Amino acid sequence: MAHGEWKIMEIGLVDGSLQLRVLTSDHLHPLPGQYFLAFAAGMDESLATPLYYAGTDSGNWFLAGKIPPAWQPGTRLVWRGPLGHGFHLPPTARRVALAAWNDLVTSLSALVNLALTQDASVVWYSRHLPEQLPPSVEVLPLESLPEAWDWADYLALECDAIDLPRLAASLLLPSGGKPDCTTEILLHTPLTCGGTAECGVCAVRTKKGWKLACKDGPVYEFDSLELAA
Amino acid sequence: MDAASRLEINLVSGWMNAAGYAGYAPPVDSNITSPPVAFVTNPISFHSRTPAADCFCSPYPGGFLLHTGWPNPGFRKVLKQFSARWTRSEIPVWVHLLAEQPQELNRMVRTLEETEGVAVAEISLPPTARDEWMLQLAEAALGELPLVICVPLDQVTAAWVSGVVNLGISGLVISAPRGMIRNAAGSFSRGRMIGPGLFPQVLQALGCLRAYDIPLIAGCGVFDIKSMDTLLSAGATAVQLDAVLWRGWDNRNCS
Repeated sequence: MAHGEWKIMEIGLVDGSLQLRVLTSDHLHPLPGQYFLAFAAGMDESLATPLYYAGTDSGNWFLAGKIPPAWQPGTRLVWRGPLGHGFHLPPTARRVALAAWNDLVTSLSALVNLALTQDASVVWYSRHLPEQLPPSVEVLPLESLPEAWDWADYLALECDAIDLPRLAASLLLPSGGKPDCTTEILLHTPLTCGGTAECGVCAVRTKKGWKLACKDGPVYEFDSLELAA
Repeated sequence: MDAASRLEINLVSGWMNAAGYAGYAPPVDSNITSPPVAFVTNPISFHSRTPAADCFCSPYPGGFLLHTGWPNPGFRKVLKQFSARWTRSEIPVWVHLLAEQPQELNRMVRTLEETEGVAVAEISLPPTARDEWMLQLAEAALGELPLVICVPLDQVTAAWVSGVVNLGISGLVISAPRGMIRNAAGSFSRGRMIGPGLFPQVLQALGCLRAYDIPLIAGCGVFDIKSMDTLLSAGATAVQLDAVLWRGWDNRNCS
């Protein structure tokens, strides 16, 4: 696992979520959904903050997460990562659906760019009208999400783990309970140890037993999860 | 066994991980330049435990409250999976046991006595048990291995502490206290308190427990080199690091 230091170049508000801009670490190629753990040197922080890879542009990385209020442009961050498993957009996917179930959207925007790069049509499902999507992306209300089964060949979701049963119910899964297309989901849980301790606070119930989001996730195949409350 | 026949823990001064912060076997994954003086396993129960249904991690000024339910695969599975790495370890391995029933605890300790590479049995007692039960559990864990017992910071002055010391245990760990916080639903959630805000109380507790004249390990509240050095110079035999191992060590402040 790599580690190092970043200086925050900029902090911006993107569609209601804070994003950091830092200089890229050239030797690393994080996937959307993977995360870094970072803390501000010299500040009284008890925990590192998970920062999800949200995109690349001209030698900069954008990182999203619950950014501590004390962080400012110029703040020096000590980081390690990338950690966990990210989204795997199939290279053959040409109809990509993305859905942000909760307000904290961290990684789906990076998938937008990847999908457009491979000439896919992209639909973004959201409660809010996003501000910074490319014009070619179609935006639909979250209530329309079940329609994605008739159209998409790849669906990426993002939600708090506690909301998973409600999300699953709203998806109106096809008969048999299995998604019709490749479906992955980023589950937000506390990511405290970064996979070093198996502390269990990030545990997610899957069909193969309990898994730890810090190292087995935070992105899962939707079909692998136990969806009941 | 009594105080006169106390087993030595043979620990050099320095840092080690606290139970639950570095997994089940060495090495400790950390960016601290000095090596640890021992490794403490995650807490292990006789039977397997699943994560608590109401797991949470809730920050507050000075630290955070954590509740996990101490999930673990159970003693037998841990032993099968990790004992070879304990044997190969270059540093002493302390196996941390969750004390729930005296007979189960006794069986685990007897097995550890026959397990190569185990240097110390460290146990944590149930947070709300009565004093007599605490003593029964500690007595059940006494044997051929040095026994170290965790004393939560909020129980340093409890009567059971002097009781277990008089049984002849080998040391005490000042461990994380429990606390409550109001959750998003408006009710209260209980968990372990972790963070640098505990440091002044740890230092105070160390002073109280020194009267017992047994090795003391400061096991919470340390997030920087200055705090570690202060505790070692105030009489701690060693310091256990907890969530700072997860966050990362700020080497800028290291001497």
